[in-house]
Amino acid sequence: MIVEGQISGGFAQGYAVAVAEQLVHDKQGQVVTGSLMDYYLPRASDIPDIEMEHVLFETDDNPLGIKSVGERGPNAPPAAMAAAIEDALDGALEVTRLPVTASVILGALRSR
Amino acid sequence: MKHSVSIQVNGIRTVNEVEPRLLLVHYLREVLHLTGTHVGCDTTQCGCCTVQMNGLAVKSCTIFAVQADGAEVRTVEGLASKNGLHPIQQAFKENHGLQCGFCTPGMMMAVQQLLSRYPDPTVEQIKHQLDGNICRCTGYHNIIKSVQAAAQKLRELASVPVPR
Repeated sequence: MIVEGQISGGFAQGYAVAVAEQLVHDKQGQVVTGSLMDYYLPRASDIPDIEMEHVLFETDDNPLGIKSVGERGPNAPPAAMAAAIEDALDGALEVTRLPVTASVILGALRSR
Repeated sequence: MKHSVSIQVNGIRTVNEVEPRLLLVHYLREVLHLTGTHVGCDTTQCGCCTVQMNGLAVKSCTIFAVQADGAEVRTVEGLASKNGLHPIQQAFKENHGLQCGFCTPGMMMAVQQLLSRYPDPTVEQIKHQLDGNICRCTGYHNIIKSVQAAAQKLRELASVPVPR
């Protein structure tokens, strides 16, 4: 239960990194997304359902054969989302930085 | 200049002299020492400070203590009874509806309003009603499960006649 909770939460964080959360600085170096009014953290309605499958095998890297799970969640969503967005836009956008916000996608579509 | 306020908190009448600028959440936390109500953002975004005022879920960092004068306030400390955890608390516990737990008090107070509006909520309704409560670590999936479990439990309890 804890493992799945970690993955669920990690997924949400990775998803948000891919499409929403962004530290923006102005020309003077002042952070302009310094509060939750400007820095978008996903709400319950933003996070899609996920399905989990566990692949269980021991590691040889330590005597107990154990692995961590807490940090795994956020790794996959940014790459998966970026690839999915590139695919959906059919070459209009090459994702080189995150997040891919709605305005980035609109900009790419307009300049096509 | 200080103002006298009388606020019913979790069924107990509290009377105190407060600065007019004192926020309700600071009244609860610092004057009454009810620290279950959290301060997350102080800008009404995160929902960690959600309490119920006269039966409605409000963000207590957006309400002055003087505005709550005469009101009935319920905090997370008022959820459980001497018979044990509230069904909402029980459901969060059983469904792992929290990880770090910081958003949980506000989340549960919002859920109580959610379930009074929608005793049998759809996932869409749950997500919509919790729009004002941000959670960083659960990914919301288990919170939604907890709400569904709490709803079922509360419906079962409502269908059983209460012995007087």
